[in-house]
Amino acid sequence: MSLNTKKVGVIARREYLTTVRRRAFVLTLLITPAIFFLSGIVGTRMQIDSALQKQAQARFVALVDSSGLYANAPLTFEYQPAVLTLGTDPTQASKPQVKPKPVPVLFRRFADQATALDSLESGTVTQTLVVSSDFLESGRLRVYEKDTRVFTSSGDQRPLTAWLTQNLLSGSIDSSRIQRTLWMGRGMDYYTQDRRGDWAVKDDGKEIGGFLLPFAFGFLLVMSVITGGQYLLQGIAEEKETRILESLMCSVTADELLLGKLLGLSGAALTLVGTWIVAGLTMGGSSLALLHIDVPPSLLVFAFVYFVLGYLFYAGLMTSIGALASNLREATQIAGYMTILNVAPFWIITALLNAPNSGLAVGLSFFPTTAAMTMMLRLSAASVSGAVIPPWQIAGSMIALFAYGVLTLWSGARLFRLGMLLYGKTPNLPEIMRILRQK
Amino acid sequence: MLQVRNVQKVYDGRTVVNNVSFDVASGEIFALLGPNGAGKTTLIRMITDIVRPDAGTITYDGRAVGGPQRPRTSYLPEERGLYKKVPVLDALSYFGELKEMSSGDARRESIALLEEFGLAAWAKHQVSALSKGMQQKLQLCSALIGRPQLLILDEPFSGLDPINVQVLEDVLRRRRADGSTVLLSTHQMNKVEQQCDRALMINRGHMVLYGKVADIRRQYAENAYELHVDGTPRSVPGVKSMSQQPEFWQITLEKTAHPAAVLKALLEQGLAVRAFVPVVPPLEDIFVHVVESGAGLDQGKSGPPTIDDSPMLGGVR
Repeated sequence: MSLNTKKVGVIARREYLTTVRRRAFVLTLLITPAIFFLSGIVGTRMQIDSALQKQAQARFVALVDSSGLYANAPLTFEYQPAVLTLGTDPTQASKPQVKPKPVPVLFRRFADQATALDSLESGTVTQTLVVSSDFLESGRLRVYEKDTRVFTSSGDQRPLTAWLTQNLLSGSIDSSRIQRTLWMGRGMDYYTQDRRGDWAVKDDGKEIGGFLLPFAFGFLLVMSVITGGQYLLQGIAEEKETRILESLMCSVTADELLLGKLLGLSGAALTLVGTWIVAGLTMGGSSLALLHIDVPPSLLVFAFVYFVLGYLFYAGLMTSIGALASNLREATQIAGYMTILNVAPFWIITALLNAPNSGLAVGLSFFPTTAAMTMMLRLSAASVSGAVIPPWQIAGSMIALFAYGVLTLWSGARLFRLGMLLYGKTPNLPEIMRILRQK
Repeated sequence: MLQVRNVQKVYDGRTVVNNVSFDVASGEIFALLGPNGAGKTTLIRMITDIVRPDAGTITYDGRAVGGPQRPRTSYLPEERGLYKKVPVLDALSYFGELKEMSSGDARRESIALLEEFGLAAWAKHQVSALSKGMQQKLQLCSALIGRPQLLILDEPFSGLDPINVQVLEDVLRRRRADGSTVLLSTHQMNKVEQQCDRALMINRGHMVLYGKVADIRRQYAENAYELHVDGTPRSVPGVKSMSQQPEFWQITLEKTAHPAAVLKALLEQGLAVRAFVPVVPPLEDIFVHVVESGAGLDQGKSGPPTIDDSPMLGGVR
């Protein structure tokens, strides 16, 4: 296959400039991050603010103590919420941590549950706590509260739990033991082996950071496939709908035209995704730095290789679909199914991350539409957990993905050259096979 | 020179182009004729290397048209289109650049072509803003840009007003004078008669006519003449039949008769003869006759029928 690189460059430039100058491109460039920002950052922020606000509110509790265990317990209490941290940041170590304000909890005794609930109904108290008569044996407690929020089935009852624990043990043991009982989990360091086999404190924040790479990779690949695929479909459908292909193919070969389109439209898609990434890093870079993401360089190399191979496979696939479908709507519909297959590994992400060497994970690593994404998830999981992905599987999946890419691009080029002449008609499978065999 | 040799193409066991051979010289306008479904488009697609022949060769100046040194070729297909959402000048320059012109040269030639076809004022407008006729002219410009060595035009006159038809005819003549090889596929037989040096007609994939346009017409002529004369002529030796037409007499000669001898005999009658011209059938009549009669299809042989094989047309003019 001899290619005239100058012509490929002319086509690529034209495709790129035509695409990035479209109003739809500029709108997508601006609107998509805005949607992510609003739904992600603002939404999460609102959720956190709502939870913190609720947590900081003073509690007025109607106490129905049928057990008598709390007959002498003080009716005022200050609960001290813990300082929230994510990961350990040495640069912040010297700075004093700001403790959250204590939450005042005020109890009022009631003789029976009915009166206490009346008080809750009338709004005199915000909660009703019922300690059953057999509390010591059964441990049964009931909390009544008017709460219209969703997904708060258990609510945040830490202030009540702290009061109950402290006053149950009061007098039996000294106050420091009570404190240790209350804060038992917080002083426990959990050691696991890192990827070098050394014992190290398990850092959840760091692990989350480690998984950001496969998520970023997945996002980049999915968005590139969606946008690049859409541009390729549009670009090819345009040739088909404008019936310009035959005129063009006097001056350029199908391979030159296809390669030019691939480069130009992929460039436009990467410009889009790249701009989002740069904007995201600029805005959220400082937050990411706190996580101390320790990504092995080899993982970055693998990410790049799998991205290129995965993108080439999908590009070939989209070209074939665009060349065969009779119009853009039909092409988009078929391409949609392919995109769903691309994100399929995310459906079983927990299984892949917890067992990166399972049969399912290995199988998906060699399946064309899932290979790139699955391998990145497996490699990322391994980089954090210390699991070892057999090198033959890495090499094998790369070779397989490369072969799939070559095959789809070859088919795409042939279908592009010959299938494009089937105006207004979508060929069936025997016809596709005939086109592929045709000279 | 374009050389097509024994080219064959088979789709689904059906031979759509069957052993076709012809040449088109540089500086020649050549007509490719045939009824719908005859195999013209497949033949053109093989010449432009969009599809490859199952047998035979196609070369230009001795080099394969699909090879690395392919000729600068332009093709204006019958089913044509343009990029709609780009400025006219950009759309045209793009075609120039694909023919390996520099960006500057492509824009300069684009402007010249737009001026020639009266589209210069629309250079910065979107293609979609052009009328159908203007788009037709722009498509012609896209085929003409880059000084193609081989120019293939399928129904180039359709959609053009008479003024632009003249502009195109003039452009084609100049391209011929410049040495371009022009292959014209059209059903407008009058344009073939006016513009083309030679023609090839294919029917059901077979070559059925091939040669100089004038020779083909002459070959299909009856031995008939128009006699423009004052008065009523009497029959003379060698005349098979005479019939009066509104403006002239149509005289059909015996096969062995010599036209000069017949004219001499008529003059001897003392008639004032204003004209004595052979009746040559229009190409359209020959086209209809060849297609309807299936002439040239039954031999199962390759190549066009020789002039001597060609059946005479009965009663056409």
